[in-house]
Amino acid sequence: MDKTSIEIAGGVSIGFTGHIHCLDLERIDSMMMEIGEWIEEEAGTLMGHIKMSLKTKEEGITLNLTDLSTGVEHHGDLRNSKSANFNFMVATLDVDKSKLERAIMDAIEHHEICLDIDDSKCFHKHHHYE
Amino acid sequence: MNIYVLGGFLGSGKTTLLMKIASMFSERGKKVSIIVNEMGTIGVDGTTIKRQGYNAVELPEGCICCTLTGTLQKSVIQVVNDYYPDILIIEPTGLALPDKVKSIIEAIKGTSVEYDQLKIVGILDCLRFDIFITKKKDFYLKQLMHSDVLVVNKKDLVSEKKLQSIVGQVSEMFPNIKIISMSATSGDGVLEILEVL
Ligand SMILES: Nc1nc2c(ncn2[C@@H]2O[C@H](COP(=O)(O)OP(=O)(O)OP(=O)(O)O)[C@@H](O)[C@H]2O)c(=O)[nH]1
Ligand SMILES: [Mg+2]
Repeated sequence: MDKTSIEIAGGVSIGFTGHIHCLDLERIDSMMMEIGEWIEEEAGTLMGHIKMSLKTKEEGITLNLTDLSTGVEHHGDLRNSKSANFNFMVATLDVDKSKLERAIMDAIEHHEICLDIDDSKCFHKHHHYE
Repeated sequence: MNIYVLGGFLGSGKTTLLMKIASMFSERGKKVSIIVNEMGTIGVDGTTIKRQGYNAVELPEGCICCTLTGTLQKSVIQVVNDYYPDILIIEPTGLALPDKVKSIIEAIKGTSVEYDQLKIVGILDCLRFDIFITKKKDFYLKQLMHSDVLVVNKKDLVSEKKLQSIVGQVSEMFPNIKIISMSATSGDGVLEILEVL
């Protein structure tokens, strides 16, 4: 079978949904930066996109990281909530998928981000630091 | 109905531009529908777009230009039959080849859907242009080469001199394609894109 365009480019993606309890955007930013830095070390450059949307009934925000010098960008608002549902995804080039998975889990642990990950093919872990 | 496929590498600004274009068309009284596709099982763009009040059909898991051909065709047909949009904007994954997306839709023209125009807007990111052109040139060019208009985005993040250098290089690579420089976040240049669509 012909290679897909994702395979031609050497693309990898990992995503999961879940619920975050002790919501702290600064810590999430820093967690995303750690993943970005890991990719840069592994692939030479971050040629990808790390993104997360967080939402409650009332408000929502999207966090994007595409360039380490620019840092994590915020679009939207999430000021009044201690917890939120999230969608998280990393799509990038030239890294090994299982290593990336490990790096994401490590970054979540290092930053003590308390989250429940919905059942998914890749992740079955539940993280609580409360 | 006009259909626009927003092509461009991961993080180049497709979703940001999509929302700007959608709101401008809406302000002009046009009915806009959106289809977004992301690489993994989980999408983020759909949530972002819906938060802005737009109705977006999400096609996760796979890539509409390779593995989701039938799904894309069905979604286009369904969106057209359910919403009768004047404008349909499609955002494929950042690693899709937009011309393939175009061919997949062209294959159902006249039988299942009717439309007036189907155009590819190719978006590239000023800030990371040098990296991509050095490291992934073949793929990068392949992704942009069939664009009807090329948008050099994130101009707010580089100097005027750097912007001119990038626009110069892009126009040398693609002498027959119109190039517009833009900042999708500020909206600077977006009107110009609308004029050529
Ligand atoms: N400064 C600046 N940032 C921008 C501009 N356009 C987009 N961005 C930012 O770049 C990041 C990625 O933008 P998106 O619109 O999500 O990019 P995308 O092409 O849809 O990304 P994928 O769907 O993952 O391929 C976001 O943080 C945007 O705010 C721009 O013109 N200027
Ligand atoms: Mg997008």
